[in-house]
Amino acid sequence: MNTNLKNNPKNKYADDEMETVIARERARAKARRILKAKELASRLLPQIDGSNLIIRFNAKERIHHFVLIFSFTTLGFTGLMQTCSSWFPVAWVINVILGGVDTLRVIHHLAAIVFAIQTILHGFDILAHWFVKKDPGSMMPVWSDLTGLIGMVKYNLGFAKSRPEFDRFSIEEKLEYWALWWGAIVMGLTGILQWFPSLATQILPGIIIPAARLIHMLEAILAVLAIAIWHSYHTMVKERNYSIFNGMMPEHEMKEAHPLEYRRIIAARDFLTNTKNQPTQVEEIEAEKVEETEEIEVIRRPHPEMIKDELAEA
Amino acid sequence: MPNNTPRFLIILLFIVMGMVFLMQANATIAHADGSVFLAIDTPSPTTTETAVTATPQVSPVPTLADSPHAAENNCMMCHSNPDFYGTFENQESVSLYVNQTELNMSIHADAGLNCEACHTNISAYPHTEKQQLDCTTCHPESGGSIDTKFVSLVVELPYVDKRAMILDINDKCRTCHEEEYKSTDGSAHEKVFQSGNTAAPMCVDCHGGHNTIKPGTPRTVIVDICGKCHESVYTSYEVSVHGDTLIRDPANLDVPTCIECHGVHSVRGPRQVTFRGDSIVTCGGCHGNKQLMEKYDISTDVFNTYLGDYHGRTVNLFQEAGKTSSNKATCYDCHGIHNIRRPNDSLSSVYPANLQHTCQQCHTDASIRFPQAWLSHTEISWEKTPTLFLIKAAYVFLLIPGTIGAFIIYIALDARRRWLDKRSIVLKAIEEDSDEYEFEK
Repeated sequence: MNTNLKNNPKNKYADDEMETVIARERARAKARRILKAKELASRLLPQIDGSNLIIRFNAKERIHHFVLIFSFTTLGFTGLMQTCSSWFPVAWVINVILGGVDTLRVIHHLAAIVFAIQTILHGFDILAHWFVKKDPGSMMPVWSDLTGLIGMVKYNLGFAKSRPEFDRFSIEEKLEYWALWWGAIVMGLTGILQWFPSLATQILPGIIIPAARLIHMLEAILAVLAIAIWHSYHTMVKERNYSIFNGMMPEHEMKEAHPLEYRRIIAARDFLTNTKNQPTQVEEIEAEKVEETEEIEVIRRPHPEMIKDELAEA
Repeated sequence: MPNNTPRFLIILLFIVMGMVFLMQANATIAHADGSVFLAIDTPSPTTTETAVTATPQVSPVPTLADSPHAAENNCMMCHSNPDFYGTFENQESVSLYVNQTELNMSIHADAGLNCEACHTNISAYPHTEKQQLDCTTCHPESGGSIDTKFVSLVVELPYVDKRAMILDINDKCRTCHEEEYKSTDGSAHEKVFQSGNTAAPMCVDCHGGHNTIKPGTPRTVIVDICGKCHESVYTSYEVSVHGDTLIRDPANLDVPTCIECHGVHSVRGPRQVTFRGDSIVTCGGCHGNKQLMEKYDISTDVFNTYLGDYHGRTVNLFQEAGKTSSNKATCYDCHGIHNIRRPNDSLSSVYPANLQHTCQQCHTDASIRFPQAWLSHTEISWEKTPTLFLIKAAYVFLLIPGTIGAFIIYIALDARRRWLDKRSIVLKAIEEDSDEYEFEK
C-alpha cells in the first residue's frame, strides 16, 4: 500500500477502498497501453515476401489530398491565366478553349469554394483533435523540428555523420503543411475581398482592394513555385512517395524517412506478441470499459470545497 | 460719329465693290488656267451675269443642235439666276440657282470638273421634254426680257420630290469615289437607308453639292456637319475636353472629332455589337501613344493600367474575341462619352467628388470608401501608393526570392548529399568486389 497516497490530504478515498482503486487504475493504465499498442500495430501490414507495408494515411486524408490536388491545380492555372491574359496564347486559350474570361472566373470561384470548404473541414478536424481528444497532433511544430532542420543541413553539408531521425512527419513535410495553411489563409482572405469589393469597403478602407489583388497575385506565384519546387522534389524527385495515394509505405522507406514512428510501431507489435503483456481477466474487463467510454479515469483531485473539513483539521 | 457716317458708307461701298471685283477676277483666272469649272463661252471673258445680259448673238432661226445652249458650258446662263426655281411632281419647289463663287471654291472646281461630270444625264438643253422654256423668256428679239438675269423662271422637274432628285444625283459620286461608296456598306447611315428611310444621310448631305470642299478644312467643319443632325451630341461634345480644344484651335490635328472615333464612311453606331469592346482601342489609340500624349502632359499609363485592372482585362479579352461586349466598364462608362471632361474639372464624372456616384452606376452598393479602391490609372509607386509599394517590395525582394531561394539551396544540398551517399555505396561495393581479383594488382 502506498503510504504517501494514504497520507495525502487530498485523498478522499477510505483506507479500505484504496487497494481496489489502485488495482483498478493500474489495470486501466495497462488496458490503455494495450489499446495504443493495438492501434499502432494494426498499421503494420505483413506481405507475402516477409516485408511489411505500413499504413500511413487513412481514407479521409487521402481523399482530402485528391480534392486538394484538383482544387489547387485548377486555382493555380485559372488564376495565373488571368494574370497574364494579355499574352496571346493565354488569351487564345481563354477565348477559344474556355469560351471567355467569365467562364474562367466561374471555374476559379468554384475551385476556390471547394478549396475553402476542405480547408475549413480540415480546420475543424484539427480543432477537434486539440480540444476534444486533447492531442496536439503529429503536425504540431515542436522544438525537435528545429534541431531536425539544423541536423539535416549539417548532414547535407557533411558536418554530421547521420541524418536526424524524424517522427511521423519530417521537418520538410511540416514546413510544407504550414506553408499551405499560410497560403490558404492569405489567398482565401484576399480572394474574398476581391470577390465582394463593395461589401468589403463598407467597413474597410478602399486601398484594401488593390492591396488584396496585389497580394493574391504575388502569393499565388509563391505558392505555385513552392509546390512546383519543394513539394515535387520531396515527393517525386528525391524518392517516389505514393503513400498519400495508396495510403501505404514500404518498411524500408519508413525506416529511413520516419525511423521514430517506425520503431514505435515495431515496439507495439513486439509488446503485443510478448506473452508477459497479455491482459489478465480484470484488465480485459477494464479495457472493455476504456474502449466503451474512451474516457480515462484517474484519481480525481477533489475540489477544495469537498475536503474543506479535512484540510481544516490538518 | 454722325459726321463719319457718309464716309463709312463710302468705305463700305468700296469694300463691296472690291469683293465683287475679286470674285470676278477669280473666275477669270480659272478660265485662263483652262481648268475652269464653268467656262462661259461668251465673247467677253467677264462674269456669267454680264455674259448673259450681253448675248445678242443668237441666230434669228435657231435650231437646237447649233444652239449655243447645246454646249455644255452654258449651264450658268440659266443657273446663275437667283430667281430660277423648279417644281417637283409633288408641287414642292426648289431653287435651281447655283452659286458661282461657291462652285469656284469647291474641290471639284480645282480638279477641273465641269457640270456634266456629275450631272451626267444632262448634256444639252432642254434637259428633258418637260423643261422647255420659251425662247422669248430671254431673247429680246423674240419678245423676251433684256435683263434675263432677274427674270423669274420656273421649270418642272422630272422627280417626285427634292429627296428623289438628291438621291439620283448622289449616285453619281460613285463614278469617281467607288471606294468610299463601298465603304459605307454596313455603316449606321446605310442601315437607316436600307430600312427605307430616304432621309438617311447620303454623300451630298455631308459633303455638300456644289460647294464640296476638301474634307476637314478646317476640322471644325466635321463636327459641324455631324452636328447638323446629331444636335444633342454636338452640344455635349462642344463643352467636352476634346470639343473645347478643337473649337479653340481648329488647326489642332491631335484632338479627335466625330470621325476619329466613329469612322467616316463606315460610321458605326454605338449599338453595333463590337463597338463597345473596340472603344478601348479607339481611346487607347491616342491615349496609349506616348509621343502624342506628351504634348498635353497626359500619362500613357492610363491605358496600360486600365488593361491591367479588372475592367480592362475583361473588356480586352472580349474585344480580342470579337464578342458582344462584357458588362465591365470601358473608358466611356466612367469618363463620359461625348461630354468627356478633364478629371480635375468639377463637372467631370471622374472628379473625386463625383466618383462614388459614377461607381454606383454598376456597383449599386458602393460606399464612400469604394472609389478609394481605384488607383486613378497610376502604377504602383512609393509616392502615390506607399502601402502597395511596400507590399510589392516585400514579396518581390524578400518573400518570394527568400523562400524559393532557401528551398532551392536546401534541395541542392540534399540532392548532392544523396548522390554522394549513393556513390559511396557503389564505390564500397566495387572496393569489396575488387578484393576477389587480386591478380589484377
